[in-house]
Amino acid sequence: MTRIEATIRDYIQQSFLDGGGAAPGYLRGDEDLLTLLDSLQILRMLMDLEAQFDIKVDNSELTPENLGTIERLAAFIHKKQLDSAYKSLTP
Amino acid sequence: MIEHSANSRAVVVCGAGAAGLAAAIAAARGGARVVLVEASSRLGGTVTHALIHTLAGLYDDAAHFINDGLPRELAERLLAADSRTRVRKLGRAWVLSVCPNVYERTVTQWLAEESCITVFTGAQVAQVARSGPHITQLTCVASGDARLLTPAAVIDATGTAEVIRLLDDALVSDEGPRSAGGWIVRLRGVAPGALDFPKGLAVVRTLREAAGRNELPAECSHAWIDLGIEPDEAFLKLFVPIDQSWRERHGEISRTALATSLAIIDFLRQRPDFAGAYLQQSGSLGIRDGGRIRGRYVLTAYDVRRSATFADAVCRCAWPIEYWDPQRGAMVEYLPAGSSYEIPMRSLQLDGIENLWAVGKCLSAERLAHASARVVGTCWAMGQAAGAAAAAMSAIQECRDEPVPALS
Ligand SMILES: Cc1cc2nc3c(=O)[nH]c(=O)nc-3n(C[C@H](O)[C@H](O)[C@H](O)COP(=O)(O)OP(=O)(O)OC[C@H]3O[C@@H](n4cnc5c(N)ncnc54)[C@H](O)[C@@H]3O)c2cc1C
Repeated sequence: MTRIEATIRDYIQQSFLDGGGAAPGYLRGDEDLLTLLDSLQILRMLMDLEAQFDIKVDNSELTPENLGTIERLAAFIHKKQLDSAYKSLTP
Repeated sequence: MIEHSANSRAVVVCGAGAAGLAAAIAAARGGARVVLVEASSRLGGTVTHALIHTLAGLYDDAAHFINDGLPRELAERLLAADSRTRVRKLGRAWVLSVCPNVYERTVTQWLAEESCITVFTGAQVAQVARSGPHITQLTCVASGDARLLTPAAVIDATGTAEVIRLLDDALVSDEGPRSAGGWIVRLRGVAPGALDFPKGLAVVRTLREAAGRNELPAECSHAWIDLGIEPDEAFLKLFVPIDQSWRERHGEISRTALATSLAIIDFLRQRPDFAGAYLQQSGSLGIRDGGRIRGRYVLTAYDVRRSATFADAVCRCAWPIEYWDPQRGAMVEYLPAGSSYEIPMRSLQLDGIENLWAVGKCLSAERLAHASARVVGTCWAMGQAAGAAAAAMSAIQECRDEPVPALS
């Protein structure tokens, strides 16, 4: 599990699941987030993760491929970070 | 002119929203004569007037009916009335997605099928008289005429406890923070698929960002847009924080909300998916929490979170705590998986008054418990229980009124 994955998992667990009946450790990396969370929660998560990882998710990137599971979300965030690091290096 | 109604000793149900309709039907089926008094000209209450299109509180988190009886019959009638009615998952909960016009037509027809229910529309309860533990008289006013009713039992299903306020304002808890109200409009001409999940989140996000840049009024940061019943349809939901003054400020609040929805529609038209969108229908101001009675039992958030059971339970509820925080917007707290809690009859009753019930969203509950219990399916279930109890009481009173047969 990558550090980004762990951060996302903790965030989801604490924000949406604790007290909501899910046992700790219940959340797998390939769990379908789009059925686990409601749209309001996904939206809130996006805004919070944008702030936390200092990235900006474009509306066209709101797809199951990018958001569908913790693993995919972590990979997506990692790529966004690399992209912006690359952009800041190139003149 | 005051007319003395022939409907003495009837069960009088005030308000024809979810809870009142159920109460009237249950009381009639329990053998009572029923008078249903509704202030507006239409039946269905908040669902009809505020364009509610996702009926909650009918199912548990496994999509099974959570209460049998009238809530289930309602769902079956709505499914049979329109092929577009469907059970839909919202987050981790299940709702019945239905066109509000279909709901209104279905309940209006249903009421006409039931015998022994007299409906007075355009009539407001204006006065209540109490003698000891009984409500003895109600005065209803319709277009200037007053009608006196001497009820066997009374059910306050006005949503905002209007009947109980007439008795004594102190019986209603109406202070402090409360769930925001809402304003819903129906759009057509939206590109089909525009709101598919998760892509559709972009629309809500755009509204939030525009509100942040002051391109739209600040309250648009909590606006929501939801799938409609038709493929080119969407419901735009505005967030309208209110306090006690909403009664006096109703007109002003409504005008602002309508203007804001038109501004949002104009703004959305810049998006290709919404280029052809237009306003088809506007609901009226929807009040989520317009005051709750101080009943014999106050349902608590603890009860809701801990799956409370009661010896005098009237129904079950598994809907999440859905609190529309006036500052932060919608907050949803799901109940533990597979769990539900019960609502006791005492949350629908007042101390010291025997023939009066308050049902629906004005039940006796703490703010956060109310945020779960107020949904449409639960209102139907509460109404059914009170209606049946009221019918039983009116039957006892009828027997008392009967002359004692002479011994031969
Ligand atoms: C914006 C908004 C969105 C919502 N979304 C959902 C949702 O998606 N799903 C869901 O399940 N629930 C939703 N709810 C909650 C739900 O709609 C209500 O809690 C429920 O419909 C309340 O039913 P009720 O019978 O208690 O009251 P109401 O339906 O409000 O009925 C009360 C009736 O009493 C009448 N009345 C008032 N005063 C008098 C008087 N003095 N004399 C006679 N009649 C009177 C009124 O005209 C009205 O018809 C929403 C509520 C709002 C405001």
